[in-house]
Amino acid sequence: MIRLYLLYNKSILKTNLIFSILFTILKVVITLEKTIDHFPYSIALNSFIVSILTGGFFLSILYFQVSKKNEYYFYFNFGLSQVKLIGIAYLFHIILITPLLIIRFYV
Amino acid sequence: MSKILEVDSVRKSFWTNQVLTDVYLRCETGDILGLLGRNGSGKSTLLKIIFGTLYTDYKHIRINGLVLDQPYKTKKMVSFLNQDNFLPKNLTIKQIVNLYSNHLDPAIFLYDIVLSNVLDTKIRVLSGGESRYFEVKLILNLDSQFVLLDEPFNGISPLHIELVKKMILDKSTEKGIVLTDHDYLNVLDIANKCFLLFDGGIKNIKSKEDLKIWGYIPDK
Repeated sequence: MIRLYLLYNKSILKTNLIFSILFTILKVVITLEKTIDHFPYSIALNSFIVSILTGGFFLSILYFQVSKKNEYYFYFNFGLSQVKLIGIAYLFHIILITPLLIIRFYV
Repeated sequence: MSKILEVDSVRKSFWTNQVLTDVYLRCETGDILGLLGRNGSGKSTLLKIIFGTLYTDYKHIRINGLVLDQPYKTKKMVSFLNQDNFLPKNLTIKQIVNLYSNHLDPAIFLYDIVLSNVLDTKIRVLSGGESRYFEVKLILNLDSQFVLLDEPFNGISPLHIELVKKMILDKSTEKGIVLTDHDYLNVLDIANKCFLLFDGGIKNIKSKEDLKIWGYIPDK
């Protein structure tokens, strides 16, 4: 069963990374336009973390819902509901992002 | 022991359009129920309601005496073949069979005459017919008591349709099967009970003549 959750999570994570990297680049470019003295590492990291756990995740679910909604039947036949899949995928995202959160707060 | 799936009082409307009005179906192990109906008559809607993935205000689904709101969440109860392709396109047949390995015997796919040459091929590369054939075989071989097949013959060549029909007939000895397809001749050929969804209700169909009477097929 865990392999199925991982498979769904992989689909969501792939899209989420694209959205979040784009968002981070946009945020860094906007910041650099205002302050060009140094690269805003903390802003980049903050933007990436926030995006991957909020907007990026939401947009990835939405993208899956629109472009791959029939794939849910692949999971339904295992007894997995949409709520379960999304919940577990979010949990995976939190686990994956934890090292970045630690870097953000302690380094 | 025979298993029983009973569906009662199913009503569904989309906005003001009442698609299903008080539908009743009963399927037992050994049954192949054929569901026919024009486009938009509610065949797929009914199957999704039975599977539990489509919400409706009114329905009563009982499997072996157990009332279930969403049968798909109960293990080994119902499996469903969606009308559109539903397998992840970036996986190969072998990878998908491995994922389902707790629910079926992978060996049956290795020696299949249609699939044995494309086991390492990704779903997105398969032809529509090959992909559909694999989906039907996969769903029929899951360890569920009832199978709902929405357009299992869609896109499959005549030669392979015969294989699919044989698979359905073989599996009906251990499962209850509800299938819907526009290929009414093949449906009539294998179904032991046939129904027509008409005006939101269910009409019993005994022969091709009944389909003419209800206007499903042309008179001439």
